[in-house]
Amino acid sequence: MSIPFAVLEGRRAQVKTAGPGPLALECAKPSLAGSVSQRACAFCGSRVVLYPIADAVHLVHGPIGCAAYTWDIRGALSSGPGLHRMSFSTDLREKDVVFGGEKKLYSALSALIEEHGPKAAFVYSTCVAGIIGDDVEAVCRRVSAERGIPALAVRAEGFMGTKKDGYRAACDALLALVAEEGSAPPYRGDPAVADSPCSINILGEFNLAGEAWIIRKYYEEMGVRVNAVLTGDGRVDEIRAASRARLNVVQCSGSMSYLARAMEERYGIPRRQVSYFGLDDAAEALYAVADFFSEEPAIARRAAALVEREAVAAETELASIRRELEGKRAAVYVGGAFKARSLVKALRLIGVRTVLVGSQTGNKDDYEGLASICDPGTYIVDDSNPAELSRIVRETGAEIFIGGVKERPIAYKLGLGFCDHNHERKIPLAGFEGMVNFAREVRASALSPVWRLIRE
Amino acid sequence: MNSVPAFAAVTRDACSLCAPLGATLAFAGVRGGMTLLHGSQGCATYIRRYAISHFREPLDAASSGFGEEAAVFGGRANLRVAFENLVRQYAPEFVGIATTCLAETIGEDASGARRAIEDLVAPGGPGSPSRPVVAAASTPSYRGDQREGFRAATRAIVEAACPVPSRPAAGLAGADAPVAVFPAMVSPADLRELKRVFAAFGLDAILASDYSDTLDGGPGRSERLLPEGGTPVGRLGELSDARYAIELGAPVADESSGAAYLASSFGAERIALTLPIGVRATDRLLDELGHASGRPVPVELAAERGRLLDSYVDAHKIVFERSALLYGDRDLREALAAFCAEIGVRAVEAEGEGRGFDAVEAAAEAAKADGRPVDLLIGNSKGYKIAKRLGVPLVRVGFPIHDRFGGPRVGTLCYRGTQELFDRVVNAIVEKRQEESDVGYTYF
Repeated sequence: MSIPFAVLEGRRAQVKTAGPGPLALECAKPSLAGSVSQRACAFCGSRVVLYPIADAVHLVHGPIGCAAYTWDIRGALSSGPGLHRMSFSTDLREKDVVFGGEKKLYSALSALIEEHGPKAAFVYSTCVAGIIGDDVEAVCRRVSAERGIPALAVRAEGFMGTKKDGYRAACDALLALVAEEGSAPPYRGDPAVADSPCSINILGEFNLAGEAWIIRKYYEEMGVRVNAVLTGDGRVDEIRAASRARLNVVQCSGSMSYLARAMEERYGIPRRQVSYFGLDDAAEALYAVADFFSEEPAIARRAAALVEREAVAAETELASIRRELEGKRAAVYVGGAFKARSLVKALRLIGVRTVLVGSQTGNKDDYEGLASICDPGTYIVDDSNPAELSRIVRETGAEIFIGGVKERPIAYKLGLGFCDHNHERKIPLAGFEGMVNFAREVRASALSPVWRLIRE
Repeated sequence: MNSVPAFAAVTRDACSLCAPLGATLAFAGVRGGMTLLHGSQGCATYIRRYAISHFREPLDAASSGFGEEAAVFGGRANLRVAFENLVRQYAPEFVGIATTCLAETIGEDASGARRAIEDLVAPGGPGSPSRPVVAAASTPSYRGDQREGFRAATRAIVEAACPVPSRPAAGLAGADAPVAVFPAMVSPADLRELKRVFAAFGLDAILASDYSDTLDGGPGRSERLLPEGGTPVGRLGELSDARYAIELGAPVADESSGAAYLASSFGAERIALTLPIGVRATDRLLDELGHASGRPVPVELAAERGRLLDSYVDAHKIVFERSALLYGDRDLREALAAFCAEIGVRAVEAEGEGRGFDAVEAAAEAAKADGRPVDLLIGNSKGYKIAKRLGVPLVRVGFPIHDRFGGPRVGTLCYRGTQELFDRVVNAIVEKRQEESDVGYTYF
């Protein structure tokens, strides 16, 4: 089907509609200059992945903006230390750009470690640090040796690639931590599963609005030990001991598949890709783990009981909301395409049809998967921008938008309800109770009487 | 005892923002204007996200999207592609280019950026159907913060709209000549208030720039995507006729001052004033407006002044010798300090540059050690964590206000804005007293 509005020439292969046959959407390429991409940069990718590690110092080596815009940026909760919510910057000035910033970095890093006694330090390189050629790795090695804690250089200068390249740099830093193989720290979760032989790591779960706690509770109820969460409510020692788990479950596949594959190669830990959004996917995520530990049939039995109980608990309210929303049309534009897939299904569960779906960082498989579950004619877009999103919304008559902060004003100005499914959300949307919250959010946005005033 | 003399090496919880953010806001105040940031994609996205969370309005800004190759071999080709794409997608009347740290570090400054796209904007040039007016500002944030970026962009706008040599002066005399107004990075509500006050004197004020509608508009979005409002480029071109160029805020360096440009190139009289917060600072502005217009202070403004003074009297004991912690943007901070002085509130500020909130908090601790603990904070929402730790109220003004709604509609300027601010300060103190009292007083 041809697209009935103008799309920039360099982006035509990134805007398509679902239909018979493969979608063959172009993706995983740098953003077109001047297109007003909704993506950030490689630095951002690395920063958001490591941000939730709460007992580490996170030092941004660069001019002030890079630190200012990533200060307390995610609603990633910690059950203990809160170092991650502080912002540290070497605040490079003109003289540093001219003479180099290594000395400043060394002093800054040493001082912060002395002040805060962190378990590790992450040093994020930025565009300027990269261009002036500061040897961030050498400074980290030196400080590491002097202070006896891992100080890890995260090499994700903004220009180095897309947000996804930043994810990779973050995963490299995590891998360096895992390679240290520390002794297992005391178990923080339910003591009943502390010694369970069935143990997992949860990858790509950032504990926004406490979602990691919800998911951990499910697995523990099944009898599974959650060794480490990367990186939600993260702790350095747990990550160091992550190679002891028997299975990696990967939620945000865009950010953490690379880490999971590397851990599979190095430590022989198998991986399962899961999602916790929507009743079906949340149930699948639990069954996948139960299947893996089939030597313990009690796990599968408990999983089934849990799913049954939670689904029944959610049913009445979801059915009532579905009656109110039936037939509404939604647009979805989020960071990762695997999540988008769950959202399409979750929306369908409450009677809402997706007419536009896209992501900043999806890959080919993600998009083919998306196309396979979408109605024919659904717009599927990669690395889109306000102009395209606005035009498609107008074209399709979408009434609800699911996205992040930058999509919110696009939606509101066009008179659409909006649900924040990104970093800043304060209400957990994962798991079974999360599905109910999601339905309530969509309902509150779609049915508010203010839209009547706007449309009159 | 700290063995590492590194206090200055780390900025903790940054108080200042980057220069391209200021430039983006300035460019957003030109009608049909679009910002193009020369650098990597993240800068544009971060700035948009940060500003959107405050204004709750769309703010589209393009990026030249440096990749590794551009960082090594130069970003001119990227800039050209970006310019053409943004013109195709938005058909802007005006494009403001701001350089980022990355572009400047590899030697691509504003004049280089302008040269790189020169042929695309020349009449008959290949790229652009609408041939937008282009301004370019050098705004690396290792050289200046959002305030400096805002000023540099403002000057670039005026330079682009009023090139030298300009068209022959229209020869407008006296009150018919427009007045150039250079507000600081104030709220849309404050821009509206400034326009109202200038209009009350019958003055033809041209704001460089004016985002009062573009960043605080009504619902709906035109097919073209660019928001309604802003100062038209044509109007900005009339600034070369201005007899007065009024610049508000803390002192601005000549090379970043649009008013200085109008003074040196067209003979306008440059009048630099602090932001009009408080009775005295507003009086000074109104004196100048009276002089420029040849008119007395309009009755409605005199009445507002009277009401403000009356409220000062009513509440003077509530605020007397209280301490207010000030931080953030220098333009606002200096004006707030003067306002505090005139109502008997002691202003507490970080020493030196105060680039991090750690320094701001240290100032609060020092005040406490002096036996005069801070009673409230006045500033942007990033002071919230300190306010919470100190257990005192925060009166949110300036940018950003990320944890409340209505940031763009917070007024502080002239008698009416000061009235709003004063009432909020007084009531913040009263509310705390009321909440902390077991008695449950119902009169104050």
